[in-house]
Amino acid sequence: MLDRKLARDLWRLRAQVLAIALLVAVGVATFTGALSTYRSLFESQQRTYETYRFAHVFASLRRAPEAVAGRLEQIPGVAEVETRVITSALLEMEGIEEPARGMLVSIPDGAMPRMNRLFLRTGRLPDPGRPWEVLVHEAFAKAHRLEPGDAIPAVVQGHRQRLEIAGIALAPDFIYAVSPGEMLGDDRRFGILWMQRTALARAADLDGAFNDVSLRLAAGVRPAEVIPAVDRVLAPWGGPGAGGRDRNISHRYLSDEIRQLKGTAVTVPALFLGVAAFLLHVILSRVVATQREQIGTLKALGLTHVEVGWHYARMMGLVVLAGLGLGLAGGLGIGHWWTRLYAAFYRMPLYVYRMDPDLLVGALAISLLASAMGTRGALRQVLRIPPAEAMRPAAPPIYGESPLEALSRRLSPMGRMVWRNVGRRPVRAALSGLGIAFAVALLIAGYMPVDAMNAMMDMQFGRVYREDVAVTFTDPLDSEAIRGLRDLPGVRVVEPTRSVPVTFRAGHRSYASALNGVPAGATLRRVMDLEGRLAAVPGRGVLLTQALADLLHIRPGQAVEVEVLEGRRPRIVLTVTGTVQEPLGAQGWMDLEALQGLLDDGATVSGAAIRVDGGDRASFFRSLRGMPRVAGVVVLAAMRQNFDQMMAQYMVAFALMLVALAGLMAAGVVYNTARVSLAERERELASLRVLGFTRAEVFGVVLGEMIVHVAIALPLGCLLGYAFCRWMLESLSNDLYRVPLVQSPPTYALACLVVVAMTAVVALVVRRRVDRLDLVGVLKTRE
Amino acid sequence: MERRSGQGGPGNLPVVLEARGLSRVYRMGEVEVPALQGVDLDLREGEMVVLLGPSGSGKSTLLNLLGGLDVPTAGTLRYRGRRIDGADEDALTAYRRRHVGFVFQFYNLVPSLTARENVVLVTEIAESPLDPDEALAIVGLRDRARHFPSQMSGGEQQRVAIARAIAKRPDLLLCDEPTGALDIATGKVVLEAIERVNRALGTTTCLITHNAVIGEMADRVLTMADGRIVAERVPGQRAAPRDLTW
Repeated sequence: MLDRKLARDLWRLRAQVLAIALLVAVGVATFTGALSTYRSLFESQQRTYETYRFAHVFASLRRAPEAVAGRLEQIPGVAEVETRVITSALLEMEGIEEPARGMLVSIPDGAMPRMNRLFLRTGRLPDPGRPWEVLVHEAFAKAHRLEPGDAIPAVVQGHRQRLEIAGIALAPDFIYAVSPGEMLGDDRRFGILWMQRTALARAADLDGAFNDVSLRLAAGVRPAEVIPAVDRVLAPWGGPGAGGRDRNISHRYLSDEIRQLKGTAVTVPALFLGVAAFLLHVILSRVVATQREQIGTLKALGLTHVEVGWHYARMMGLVVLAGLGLGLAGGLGIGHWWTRLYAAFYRMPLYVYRMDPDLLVGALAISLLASAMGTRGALRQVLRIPPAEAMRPAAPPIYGESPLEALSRRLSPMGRMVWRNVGRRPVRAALSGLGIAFAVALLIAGYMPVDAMNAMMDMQFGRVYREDVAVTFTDPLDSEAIRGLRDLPGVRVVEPTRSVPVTFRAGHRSYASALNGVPAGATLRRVMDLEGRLAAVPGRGVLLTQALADLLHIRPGQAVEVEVLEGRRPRIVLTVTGTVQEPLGAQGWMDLEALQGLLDDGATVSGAAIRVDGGDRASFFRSLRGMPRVAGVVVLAAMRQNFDQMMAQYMVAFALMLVALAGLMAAGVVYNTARVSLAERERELASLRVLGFTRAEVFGVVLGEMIVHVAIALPLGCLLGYAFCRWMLESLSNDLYRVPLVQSPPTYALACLVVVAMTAVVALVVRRRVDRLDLVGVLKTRE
Repeated sequence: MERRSGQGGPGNLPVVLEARGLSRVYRMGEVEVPALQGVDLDLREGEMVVLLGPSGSGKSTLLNLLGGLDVPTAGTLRYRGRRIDGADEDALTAYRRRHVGFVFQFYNLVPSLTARENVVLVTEIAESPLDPDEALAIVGLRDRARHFPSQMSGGEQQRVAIARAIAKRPDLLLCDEPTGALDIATGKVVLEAIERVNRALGTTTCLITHNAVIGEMADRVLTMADGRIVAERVPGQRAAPRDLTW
């Protein structure tokens, strides 16, 4: 019979109970969804690496004879060595004005490489008899709708060539294809192409030599154990030294992204389950208060305290279990969907999805924990009620003049009802406000990365990179090259850039990065901090990115040792003149002439920043294609457009999801507290109606309380949102990124607006209940 | 149609409320329950009418209809000649707001407001209300004005409810078992307050009780059974509440 009571009680509370179940479901779904995605991606990554034999150690160099590979094989711990030739090419693609950048990577003639093996999506390996046949990375192929049999007009080392596509492929070392030195992948403007070794070596003038090498290690050997030996062998051949998988950009992006999923798996569920627990508490307390007589009767009939307590525990347990079931289904769906999405975005050759049993157990545990937290107080009350006492009505609610009473002096009696009701249950008001505040904070913090990215891009494209086109050279060139660029049609300003691979050292700490030269009086490319302040580049000494100074633990005034990794490889000691908070990278800056003086190798520039007249762009790009030493061309406006497109795509879906989640949270809290408050004060409100107050006036009392809760919530939510943002910065920033703390007033306003709108919707629903208040029925019953 | 109005006392005064053939049927699922069956009734200005009858006789249903808390299923109801039986929710609210004061068995005070504030609640929406302190003085509670309901006895709470009901100077004071939850002594104090209001302000008063003794303080006593008025009696002399015993 009790079961029937249970079912009916739940049915009566269905809307409130549904809200709680949904909150639990969101918590469980994000927990299981994000964690299973995290594990699935991690496993997919590992399996891909194993299956396609991803290398453990990578090194690039200028040029080394093939025989050097044999010496690398002899290093203890090294299992396998495979050399490659990698060079760049300019690709003429339809639909973009500037040449796209191609990275040509060698594979053995007519065979698969032994490590970093390819996954052939369609087509076949290049034919040894056809030197200009290539495999194209799937991302690039898709962006340009390329298929086997198509040809790409290209400029390889200054020579025009038609590259014939034999197949479309993926590879473990280029899962995410991003051009070196750029922050975002642009599949239309950057592509990986695999070509046969003999042909590529001939084209790159590297016959019998290599400029890139990958190593696989024996089981149990860590990369750090062999890297020093590898560096010793390769030292004479130029290059920035060897590194582990961290040196592989694709691996780094993928691993960072996977790691961030873990954060989501903890914070979002905690928020939702916490709010669900609070609502459980509010509702169960109310149910117990109204059912005191029933509880007493049940106990008087001979049921034990525990049996009666169990009845109520089960009631809320069922709600949580419903949420859990819904959440698990959702989590499975989300996990599958996210994993597939990520796998597609990162072009993983294979992916697996798994939902481990321990995640299910974990989800059960956290939802039971939330349920226990929420029901504890009310259940204790049930246990404590003696049968006889329960048969008497609860003592009338006691109101008094609260310490805040002075504030209510000027209010009307209706206003005072609202005020004192809030004051009588300050904890409920505070928790309810907090619950709504979480929704505000969720919106603010959720949107922060979007705002931060936009602000960063505005800064980078608007103020730091002021050129129209950036050109990089295949090798450092002398200043003749700059003069050559100046003579191209439409060119108005050319400023040289110089970037040298170096290792920074301070004490026992070191970091491989780049030292950049800035010409005196540069107008196109300048050094600027996160707030948009220009940083002074010293005539002597070096300016470090704050991230680099942090990594090396040095402060301005101290010395840093710089080991140049190309040319004559000089080692120099420089004074750190200052630090600058840059959004990207960890690098050093100095005056271009001073840098050239230090290097003293005649090679002075590695690239150029160029302003071009709009009218001459077409002929400018045409001429640029004829320059053999140009490795890459970046049109800044196109880069910006690519970024904006990516953001726009991602933002709509993301913003909708965020609003839905936060809206659910806000609505759940507002609706439940309003319903409970309504139930508690039915009699009072009916009295007002009898006295002649209109439905609107009576609703005003209920609305007033909702408004107070929301009024507490909005500023609190903004503060919490700010705190979340700060906390997120820590987790988002690494040595590649420094995310600025961007506080966008529209985001705050929008977050508040969403919550206010949700409250308005709930208010309409509650209003209908107030309108339908049964005056006679309520007033004739004893309280 | 036979008039059931009394002959003595205020019999010649203008009619405030006129009911003809008033019926109310409740639907309880499949069953129709007739709670009121064709009641005719006139309430005259300043009259004190007591409605007697066992529970289920239709007293409360009638009172609710008279006070605009409910609408009849058949019959007409006129307030000073104006039909209110077919009025919509807004019109009924306005009717209650301007003309009717209610007192219930269970006081129904707003627990979060003091005695005085409970009264002010009403004076703020009334057109020409009493001074709140004056209303409390009439029920003898001037010195309890700042107490909250939880700090007062049942009798005191009921007197606050009366003060609240009359503060708007209603044309009609409707009391549903006002002493039902009180002991004799306290009940008499409450009845005295109602009596005082009726005499001092001339408010037409209709009081429901199942206690026949209380009928002695009325101008007219109507007895109800099975949804009909079955008897009407006019006591010669209105007794003072303090002289009643039960």
